[in-house]
Amino acid sequence: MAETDAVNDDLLHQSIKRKKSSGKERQKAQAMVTSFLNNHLPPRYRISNENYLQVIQKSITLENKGITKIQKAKKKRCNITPYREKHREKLHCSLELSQRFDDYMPLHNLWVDYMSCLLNIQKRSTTSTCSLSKEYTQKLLKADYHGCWITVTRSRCPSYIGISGIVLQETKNALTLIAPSNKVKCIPKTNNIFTFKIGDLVFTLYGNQFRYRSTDRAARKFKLKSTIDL
Amino acid sequence: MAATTKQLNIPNKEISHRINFMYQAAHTALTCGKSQEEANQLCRIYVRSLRKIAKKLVLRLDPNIKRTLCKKCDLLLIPGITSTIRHSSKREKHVILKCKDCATTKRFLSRSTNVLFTENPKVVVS
Repeated sequence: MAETDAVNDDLLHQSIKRKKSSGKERQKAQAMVTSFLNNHLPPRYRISNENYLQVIQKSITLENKGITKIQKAKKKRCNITPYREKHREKLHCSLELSQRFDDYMPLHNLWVDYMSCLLNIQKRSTTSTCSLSKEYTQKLLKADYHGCWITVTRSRCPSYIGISGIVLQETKNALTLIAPSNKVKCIPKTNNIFTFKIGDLVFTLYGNQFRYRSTDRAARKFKLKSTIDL
Repeated sequence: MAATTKQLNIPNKEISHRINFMYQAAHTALTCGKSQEEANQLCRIYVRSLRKIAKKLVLRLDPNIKRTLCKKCDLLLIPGITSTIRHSSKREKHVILKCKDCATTKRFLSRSTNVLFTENPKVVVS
């Protein structure tokens, strides 16, 4: 750094010497050189019109700052172990899709088969709904919702109401849907109520109570909570 | 031991049902999507959650399933699409399964005496 600056200074100095003949150009050059040097030199060598020549004729060595602490810290950060790298990838794994809705119909069909098999819908079509609900809640909590056709029925934010689509990804606080208009939408679980339908039965999911990771739900024990909101 | 009752009592029936579904969903996810990369991404999400569930509930994945999942990037390894499969007779004869995305390899010995524990008749409870 210091060397290159010194060379620059020399060049500028020479150019000024050559152009001594024309006064206007000289002034221009002087202004340019002062501004350049003021930007690049340490503050104790500040140049004004009076000490211009003195400073220019001096040879100034710039300080070599070396590697600062910040740069050291940055270097350390770059050395990620493979595990951490993997972990980081996992955290930032998100869907950025520009896709066709029709592609995901097989996924939905698969989910419908899975769900109707899990709930034994064909066998128990005649029994009363009250007895069913207790059984179903436990199963639904541990079920998987990737591929489910879900609609937002009630929400605190009115623009969410009526959105429907196939669930592609379920995270702790949000569901990623693909809508029939080929758009991928991320909908938060908080303050939203979702419904989905299997056969003749319609289920509602309360988003506020559902805020767990889909993998955590499999192992967790739940307590009953009442909803006051909305 | 516990399975001496009339019907087989599967301990985590719903969970194994779920894992089964997730495994199939990962397969279907690979087929849909505009580009292969995007499809892989979705596939990874499913396999990852599958693995996590099994880990949480301390379930052992069947080796036939486990051998089709990439160890590093959690991708389904389907020969020809997401992985390459090669035989090698150096050191000992074995099969090499290599993930196309992250280039990690799995090696399976092709010994005639090797039997998976699930295929071993002594282990299986009838």
